[in-house]
Amino acid sequence: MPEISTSRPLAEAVATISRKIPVGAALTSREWELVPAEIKQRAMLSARVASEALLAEMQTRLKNRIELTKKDGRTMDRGVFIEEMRKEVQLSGYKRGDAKRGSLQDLKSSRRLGLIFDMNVAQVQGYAKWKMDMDAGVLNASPCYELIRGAAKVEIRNWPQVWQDAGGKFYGEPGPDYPDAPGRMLARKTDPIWRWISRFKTPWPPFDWGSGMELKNIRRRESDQLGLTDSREVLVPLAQPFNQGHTLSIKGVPESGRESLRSAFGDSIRFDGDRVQMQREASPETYEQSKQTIETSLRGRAREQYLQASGELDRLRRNDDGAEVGFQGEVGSSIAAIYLAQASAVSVGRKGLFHDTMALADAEAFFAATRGFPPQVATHYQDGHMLMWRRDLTDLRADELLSEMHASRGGLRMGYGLDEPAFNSPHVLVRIFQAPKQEGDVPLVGFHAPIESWQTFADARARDISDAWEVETETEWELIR
Amino acid sequence: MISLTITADTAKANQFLVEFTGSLQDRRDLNAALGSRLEDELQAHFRLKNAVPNKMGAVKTNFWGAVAAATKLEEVSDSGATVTVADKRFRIHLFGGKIVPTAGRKWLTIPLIKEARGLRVEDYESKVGKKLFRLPGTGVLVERSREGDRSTLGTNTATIRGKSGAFRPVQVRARSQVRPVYALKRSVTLPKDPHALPPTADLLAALLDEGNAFLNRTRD
Repeated sequence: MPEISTSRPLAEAVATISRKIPVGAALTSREWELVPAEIKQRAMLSARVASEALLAEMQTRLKNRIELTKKDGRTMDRGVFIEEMRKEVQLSGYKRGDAKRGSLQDLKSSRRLGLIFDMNVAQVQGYAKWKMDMDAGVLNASPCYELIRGAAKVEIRNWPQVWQDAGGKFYGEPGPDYPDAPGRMLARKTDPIWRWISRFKTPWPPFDWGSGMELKNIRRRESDQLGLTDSREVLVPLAQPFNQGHTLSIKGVPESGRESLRSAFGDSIRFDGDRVQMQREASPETYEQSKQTIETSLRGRAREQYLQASGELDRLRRNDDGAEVGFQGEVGSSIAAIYLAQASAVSVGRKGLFHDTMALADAEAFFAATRGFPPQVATHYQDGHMLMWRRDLTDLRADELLSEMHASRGGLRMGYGLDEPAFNSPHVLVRIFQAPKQEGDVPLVGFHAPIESWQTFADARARDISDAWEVETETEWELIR
Repeated sequence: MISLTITADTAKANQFLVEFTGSLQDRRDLNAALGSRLEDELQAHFRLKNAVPNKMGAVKTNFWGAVAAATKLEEVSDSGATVTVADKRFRIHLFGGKIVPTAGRKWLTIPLIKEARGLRVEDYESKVGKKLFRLPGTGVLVERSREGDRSTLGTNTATIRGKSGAFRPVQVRARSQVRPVYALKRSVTLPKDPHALPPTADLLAALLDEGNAFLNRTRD
């Protein structure tokens, strides 16, 4: 039976906000408009906010809003979000700089925080509705949308012009929102125009900053009568809302922001100098596969690669007929396991580069174990240095990478955030252990990272281990002056 | 031949019972169509409410528009469909209730002028560039003003709202002219809105129309 509920959150919206990954980056709003829509959908982001910690605080509160949870007797709403985030921004040491107090550029302002709240809530609600609208039963019962005004605004954009410029058609008599328009703005739900009219390239509202335009369902009978659909037609839902190929300028994005993107999206994106490009294909035939999130997919593939490689290493040892296979003994096996975990992170694009020094026997074992990795994975051994990277995700060559290692400038490449020359300045020493950490345990991974962004790099490297081994990790850090 | 009957469930509010004669293979798709239509009817109702101008003639807060945006078909299955209004603020209009200050605050601030509607006190002060005063014993936040409705202070002291939300005394010249901006209330009781949802008869008619359209479409 159909029923109306007022007490349940939207499950898909909850899942969407939960999947969002705080990705701080110092870009302007205009630059973020160019962010590939799929990254935007998955990234909790806000222009000119480089602090992942602050974005994570926003995400937690937005999640509470979407989940309709109560905390300290009150539910999260716009006013509470603004009030609490103002305090968090204050605590973060935020400096307004040249931004005018109370303006949109002022992160502490109600205008700015209110916009962040409105946009993020609207985006996840929009996506949740889009997912349900792509249900075959729903789509065939109401196959089209009409672009209508849902909220009164002081300044009204000329949406019929935007619609026309995007190639949209008009149907019937104009509606009350735009009585001078050539007709009503209607299109099939699967029509790409819904992305083209959007400043953010998402096929659901909001379609612009502070826009009050909404989508109204058009029932099948009306859609057939207006000629948008045929009564005998069975409509096929879209697998996912985006196409591949979007690019984004990430000029000015700090390394921690790039590392966040790399760790979150792996080989779904490719870095090319100051640009990043989406690499995924959209295909209705992979509808079931496309339901899987990028994060789940990366985790599963990394685990698979790790198991394949460690299994191959074990097989080599069992087939040993007296020849010495690398990574001997218990210590050697432990080291191999750590290397292969990092290698599997490289193979799915989560870690930009693996490097370590190895004896020849170990290197041969490493080559053999990772032989089954995808063809895009490049491995190079020279003068005791082992390198592994993805050819398709970087234009660097082996000799260039080696040169950086020799100059002790490999920290950034390997996703540690800090090259050795910076060790003389204050920074953080990070150590990652398998949980629960016991007295006397040796860290699995240790590296030096910048003070302002060590957490980003620590989380990324911890994920390399946890994805491959399916274990929990603990991170320790120490300020080095 | 399949025929459809839809009635309101008297045992459970906001549920509708769907009965049909004959065999129906694809119940899920029928429920998808009905759920989608229910979503449309609710959204249309909320958008109509949103279009009504407020009594103050102030810039709209678009509350009912936000409720419409939060109304979604949430779940579809062989046994039914659920439309969720995922905005907690809607519940108090549906059921009535008392609104009280939260987060340690003592007062609710009720706008008395259209310029203050939809704005927090801090945002109003920031917008107009004036600090608000509390008139002693009146529970009203006022601003110095020569415009609009104004009162004249009889004494030369008032209370200014400080950063922490508490009040502290401040000197104001006697016979200053002030305008009330917000009323301070300990709580506000909202009655149940009888028009929070569309009339049940309208919803039933819409669902029956959708159900018959589905049967005609799938039969052809």
